[in-house]
Amino acid sequence: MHLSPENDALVQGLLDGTLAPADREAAERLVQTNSDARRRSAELSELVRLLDGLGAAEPPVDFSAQVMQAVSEVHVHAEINRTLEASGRRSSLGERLSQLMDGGFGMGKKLMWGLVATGALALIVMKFSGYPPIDGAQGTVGAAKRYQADQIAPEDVKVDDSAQAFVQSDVFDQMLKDNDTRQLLANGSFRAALAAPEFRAALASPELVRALASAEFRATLASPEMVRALASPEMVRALANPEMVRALANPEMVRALAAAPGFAQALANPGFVHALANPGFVHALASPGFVHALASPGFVHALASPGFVHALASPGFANALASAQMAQALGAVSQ
Amino acid sequence: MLESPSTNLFQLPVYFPSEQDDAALVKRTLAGDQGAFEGLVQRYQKVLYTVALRMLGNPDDAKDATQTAFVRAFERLASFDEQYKFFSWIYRILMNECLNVLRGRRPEDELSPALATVGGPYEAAMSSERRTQIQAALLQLTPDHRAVIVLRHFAGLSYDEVGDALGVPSKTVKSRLHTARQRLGELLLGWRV
Repeated sequence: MHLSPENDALVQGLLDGTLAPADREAAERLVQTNSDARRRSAELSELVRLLDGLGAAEPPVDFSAQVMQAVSEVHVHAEINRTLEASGRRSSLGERLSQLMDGGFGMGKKLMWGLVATGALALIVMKFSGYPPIDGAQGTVGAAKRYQADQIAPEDVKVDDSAQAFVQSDVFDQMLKDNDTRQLLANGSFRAALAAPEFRAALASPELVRALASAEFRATLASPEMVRALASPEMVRALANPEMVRALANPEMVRALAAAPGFAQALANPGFVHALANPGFVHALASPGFVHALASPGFVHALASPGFVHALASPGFANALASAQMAQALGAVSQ
Repeated sequence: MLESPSTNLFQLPVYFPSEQDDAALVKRTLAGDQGAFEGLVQRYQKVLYTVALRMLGNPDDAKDATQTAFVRAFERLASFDEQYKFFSWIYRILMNECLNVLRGRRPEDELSPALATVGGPYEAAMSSERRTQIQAALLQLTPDHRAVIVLRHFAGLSYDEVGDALGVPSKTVKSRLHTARQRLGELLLGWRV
């Protein structure tokens, strides 16, 4: 083939449809009258046909959803970091959040955390950190409502000294370093639990926020057993019940949890968690009698005993605990 | 979706989204409407993924690169100059990401055994072995030459648009395209050097 570079460009331009009208006419004439140009045109057409055969590819079915999750995650990160930078605390909380969210689970930049999981985790951390301020009920409720929105707005993320103290605390270190916690946080079902509106609503409750101000309560929640229990569907459902949240957030309950690790473990026991699916049992837990009874070390010890937890596996026992009579009895115990 | 389907000379369906639509979606995204960005993702995901797959030859890498391109676009959207076309801009981001991936690869990583398993209806008509040969030939091109072939052929971009996406003059695009076609012809059709 002896086609000049200029004529080859004309043939390729004809193929690409990029020629000006005059050049296109010249190219068409060339292909009609010149055998080399005609052969070149046929070759290029054959090449194009082959490439056509490779065709377009379909991205994974849920690709756009994955992209939007990643985008939203970036958005949340950006908002958090922007706020932290504005508050001059980027080097502490922001870096540690990034450590927890990005690198803490060996995920690198895979952006495996979804929007809701990240937002919820951020909420957890922010709430663990003592925000919103708990000294004003109005502010707390307002913030709680805001937290029920789909994503964190810049004004929702505020950092105070308690946040600073929290990220420098042993509890946060425990969260960062504990393999069980990391694995759990990387677990899909746990992320799904974080994504549950009920769970998020529970996180946003003023009672829980108030409870989270307690270092002991935070430490208990950070325990592997409790984190695992929080990830269970039963607990997620239970947390949708305001009574359950009130029960957990009750100062007596918090004190019991903090003072008796065994009780916290009992709460995290599958049998106990399963029993939480019973609204009546939750009602019993929230009753003044039960809460007052928690002040008794003996009662707490009994609750944490394997026998009690085993008994909870029986729906009848859980129902019995939920009865008015039991509530009365518990009230009597606490007197 | 407000797109006007057209057909280029390669007979592949190429969609030319309205620039006004893109600009509107960009504005809405910048105003805080993430749903608008999802519109851009849905509009461009297929063609960007195809471009990434043809550049990288590996579905997982293509998926990651495409996702990263979208995320980068979102992150930098505020700096997007509206006098340019959104798709040229995001193609540029994607190509940079693909080139970064290629730079990080070892030579033995270039050819993927997964090649025969990817693609759409066009590929069904062609033998798996032939498809693998074609993708392998693409991967034998230099990244610069592969990029012009992929953007011109699989994204249906004009010389100018390819130039915008790659940051080179359209004259360079034309030259690279001719060279790349020649090389592909040699590899696939036995054209003489």
